[in-house]
Amino acid sequence: MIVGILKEIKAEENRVCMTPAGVEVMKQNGHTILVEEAAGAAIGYEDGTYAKMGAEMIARPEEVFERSDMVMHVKEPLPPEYDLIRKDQIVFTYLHLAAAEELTHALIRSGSICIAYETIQKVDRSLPLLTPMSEVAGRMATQQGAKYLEMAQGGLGVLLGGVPGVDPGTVVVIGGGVVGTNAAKMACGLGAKVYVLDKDLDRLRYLSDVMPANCFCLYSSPATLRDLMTRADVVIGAVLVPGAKAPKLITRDMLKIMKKGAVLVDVAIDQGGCFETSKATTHDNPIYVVDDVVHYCVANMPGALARTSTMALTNATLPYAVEIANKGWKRAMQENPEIKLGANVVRGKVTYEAVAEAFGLDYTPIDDVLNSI
Amino acid sequence: MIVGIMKETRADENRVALAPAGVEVMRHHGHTILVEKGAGAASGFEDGAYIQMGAEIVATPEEILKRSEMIMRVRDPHPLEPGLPRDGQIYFAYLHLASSEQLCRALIQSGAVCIAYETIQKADRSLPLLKPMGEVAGPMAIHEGAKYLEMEHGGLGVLLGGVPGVDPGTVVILGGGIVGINAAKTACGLGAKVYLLDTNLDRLRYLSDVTPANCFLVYSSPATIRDLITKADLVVGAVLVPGARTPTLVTGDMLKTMKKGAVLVDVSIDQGGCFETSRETTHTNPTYAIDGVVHYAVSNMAGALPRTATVALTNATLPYAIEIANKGWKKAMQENREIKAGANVVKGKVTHEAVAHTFGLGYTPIDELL
Repeated sequence: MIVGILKEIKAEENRVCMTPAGVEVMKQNGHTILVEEAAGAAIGYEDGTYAKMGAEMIARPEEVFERSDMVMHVKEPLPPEYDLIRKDQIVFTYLHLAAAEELTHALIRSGSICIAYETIQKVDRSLPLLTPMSEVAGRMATQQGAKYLEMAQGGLGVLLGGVPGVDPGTVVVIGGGVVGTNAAKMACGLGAKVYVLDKDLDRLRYLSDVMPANCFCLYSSPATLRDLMTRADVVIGAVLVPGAKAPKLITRDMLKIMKKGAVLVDVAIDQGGCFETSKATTHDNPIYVVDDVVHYCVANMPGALARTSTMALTNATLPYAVEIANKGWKRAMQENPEIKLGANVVRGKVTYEAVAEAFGLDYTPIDDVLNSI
Repeated sequence: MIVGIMKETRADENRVALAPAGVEVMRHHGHTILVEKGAGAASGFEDGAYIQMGAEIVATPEEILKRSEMIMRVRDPHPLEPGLPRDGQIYFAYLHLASSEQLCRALIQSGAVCIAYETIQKADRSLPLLKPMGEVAGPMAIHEGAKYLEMEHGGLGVLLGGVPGVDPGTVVILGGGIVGINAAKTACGLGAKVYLLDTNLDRLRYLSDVTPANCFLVYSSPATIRDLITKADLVVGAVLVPGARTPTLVTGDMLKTMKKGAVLVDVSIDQGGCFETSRETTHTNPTYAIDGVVHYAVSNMAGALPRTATVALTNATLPYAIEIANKGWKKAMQENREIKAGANVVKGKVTHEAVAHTFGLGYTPIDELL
């Protein structure tokens, strides 16, 4: 199969969807890899390195779209790319269609096979292509909290780990999933007092087994939250309800009971945020203050640490890319239910129920499409 | 004794010389504490909290200076401001006189007894009033490194702790003293690969006993530094030679061998810095890049985290303040050599040899005065 690796064109996006190491593996599986020039340059993967691994470097994205059986991206296609996508071409990338009506219609029109990273799902309901980015974002969240606690940033002026003789800071992590666990690990590593809240008792039991002794695992309730808010120096919003908007767990009223200069980091901002006062910010201008509480709500946090994120993402996407390229999309979906769940728009049909619902479009189960072939 | 706590006047300085908890202890010892209005506000200590502990809030610095027998402050006074002490008054603060001739001469003229936090020294040669700030600056150095590794700040885009499947970042820490060990603990806590360098083998042995398994103790040599900085994502300069300028360990030429987007954090900038290309920056404009390498060289890093830094500092200064207030400066110095080592300028004489040397002033050993 001919696989095209496109350069990202979205602002602040420095990742690339395949590393030179990934190209080597794809080549070993017998595929031809086209890489758009400078696709990996921002993070130190030079064209020469791709070429050495056997990729063919292509100057124009038009040519990549024209020649590839499958195109890969990190972020969703943008309007200039809509008309370049060909009928029956496989598009394998993050799509987040439920929040993008125009893109959904463009993909329906294209007649392509659109497999979304974010809906590929394992039997245990985990999302293997979201996990790596959650790991990065969770770990970053604690680092942001530490930085924005500085006075020059509007923060309280507290060192999270304290020093001998001075009480450490208190970090409250709402949600004990991948983001929350990773945020808590980092905060524990800094020496803070860390509270992780979750509603799943079995998850709390697991966390209590694996986390260090300065991590306190609490059952989440409004009363617990209200109590912890008054003590917190950093609060990390790490709630994910798959496919739905994040619940607003911290209301604007609750900010008033917090310390002045405390920092909120809302990692759930991509799903609408779990603080009522959250609004998406960018890495250029990451924070704002409401009621003397610093808010950090950067959408797409991992984009800032593009080297680590690229490797983390491509470690996770590569096995799926190899399987799709080896078998073709039909057989790959028939034989691997994880990939089948990634099907969002296939040959003009919306095959992902939540997307169809979001825009009042007809939903065609992917099995119907596969059976009709 | 009447002890006056003055509000800091420097930009970026949010600490205060005594927390309300310290006021209470001073009161137990029978002293009167005057606190300048708003002195603790930036550290989260309102005037009311001081009053509750028995302090008297005083509106102007002039009144504190007039009424107090001992002045406590975090930073040195500006040589031109009315904050200078008067004849016979005790002035207990960070002074760093070797870096300001103007201040040094002003204090000589004042006739005050100036005891510098930074030269108080224990028998083991450790500096008990510099330690707490090193304990704050060390971990902060890692927080700064983690932040400025972001691509928007010119950084490499590496997460120090990595994630499962992705190699963690490499942190190289030059100097295994208080700053270095605390930076290393923090970097290890984030999950990075941490190289901690020192030239003292016994110190390296101790560090190897107490640091986590992801901390690698390496004997410092030019060759080791040259090798490690090519691998480093973050380099922390944590070298302190007491009373002297920091040696330059990483030259401008060596930057070219580093990764583009690597970050240097120079905690030793207050003593001149250990990277040749370091120049002092502020919390409002903390970084600049040379040869693609991001430099963070904020002087007085700890000032950005005053709640922690104030408590840490006053935990350390309080016992000395009590002893000086209880005994008076003469007896305190006679009975406690640590305090005696703090004497910098006493009644018009320079009593600290390095300070006298720096400006070619006459040196009077403190024992002669006592």
